[in-house]
Amino acid sequence: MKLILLFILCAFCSQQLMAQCCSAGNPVAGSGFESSSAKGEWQVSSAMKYSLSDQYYYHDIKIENPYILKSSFLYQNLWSSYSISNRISVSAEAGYFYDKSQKLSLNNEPFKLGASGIGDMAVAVKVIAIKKVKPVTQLAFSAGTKIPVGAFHQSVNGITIPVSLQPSSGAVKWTGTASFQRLSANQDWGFASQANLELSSEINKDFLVYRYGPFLRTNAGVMHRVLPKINMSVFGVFDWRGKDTREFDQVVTGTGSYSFLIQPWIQVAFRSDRILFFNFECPVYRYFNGELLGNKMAAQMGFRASFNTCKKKEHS
Amino acid sequence: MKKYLLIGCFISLLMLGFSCKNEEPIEPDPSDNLAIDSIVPEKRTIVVWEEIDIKVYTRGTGLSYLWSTNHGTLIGQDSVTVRYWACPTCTGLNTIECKVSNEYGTVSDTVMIKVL
Repeated sequence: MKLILLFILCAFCSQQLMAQCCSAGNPVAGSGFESSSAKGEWQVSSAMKYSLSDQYYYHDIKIENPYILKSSFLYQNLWSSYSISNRISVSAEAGYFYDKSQKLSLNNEPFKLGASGIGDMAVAVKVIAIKKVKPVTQLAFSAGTKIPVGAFHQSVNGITIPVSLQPSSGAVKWTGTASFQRLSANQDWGFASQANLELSSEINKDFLVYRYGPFLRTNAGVMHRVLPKINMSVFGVFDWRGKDTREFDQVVTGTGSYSFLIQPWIQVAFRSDRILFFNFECPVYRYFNGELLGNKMAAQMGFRASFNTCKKKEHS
Repeated sequence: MKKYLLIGCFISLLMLGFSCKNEEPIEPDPSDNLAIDSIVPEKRTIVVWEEIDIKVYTRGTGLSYLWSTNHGTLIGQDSVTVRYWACPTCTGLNTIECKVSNEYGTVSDTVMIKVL
């Protein structure tokens, strides 16, 4: 049972690393479903994600853009969670961008512009409201914040990199998540769903006055155990991003979007508490309020482990 | 003759006096050590994706430059010139700042570019 639970938990945790092509800060972080919430349990995971965007869209129509050839990033996170009780846990996440860059075309010559550095830090508290064993059912809520501790003024050769390519978002954000999961009686099948809302504070530094629009992500998916140690799952994801604003509350032209994504997953459990996971992200449909660069694909691989300090103490 | 000799001596003394004054060291203007005279953009109003050069005119030696903007992209052309362009989400009145530093400190100036 614990194995199946961890499969789903792992899927949820890693979904939080989704990203939009050219937004500053960590690839969408969040909270919720980081722990099975056995008292005294530590969970640690690290995942690496690569994202590529090379197509401009006007609303939902592909358009040519001779200036920005592609935009990509390679990001790794480190996430940790501790269960204070069987129903309450706290978590923290930090990450590093090995490369966050754009390939430009200037005077018909390629030019790479980008940076690397530490992203934002996220902390969250999760409370499990409903927890049943037969069949396994869980409803949880979490709240958290993202703190812009990372690099936000990276410069190369005397030129400050654009905000969208900075590793940190530069803004404090608040997140709230509701999540639900249920397994079948024989635990070969499972269903999970999550809603995550993120609100941003205003950046007001030097000449930059900016507020990222609210961001809502909802997803739902099914999991099936195909082999004793391997399960596969598919999630449908709906993202909605509100309009950004700048000084005097002016709406930033063209911002705001919604999109549908499909996420296939494979999870391999070497042991019940050691899991390797792979994920691929395929955008199905997207609509931008203006002209924006859309994500083409993203792939992710990670590892997760858990330890229970209470059990060790009991054994000793 | 003696009279002309005295006048000549008097004029020579006067010239010597003035020339001594000219030899006094001239205090340099402090702004010559580090200053930005102006930042000059090719145009002050551009459209999305249009590229323009922006040049800074400075005084001082051993200068280092740091350019930044609140919206848009800057690409270095040479030590005193950058190229600026803006994507569709950068429309509005944008600020480009240039900070210049050397052993005397740091000075900065800005220029506004309107993106339509």
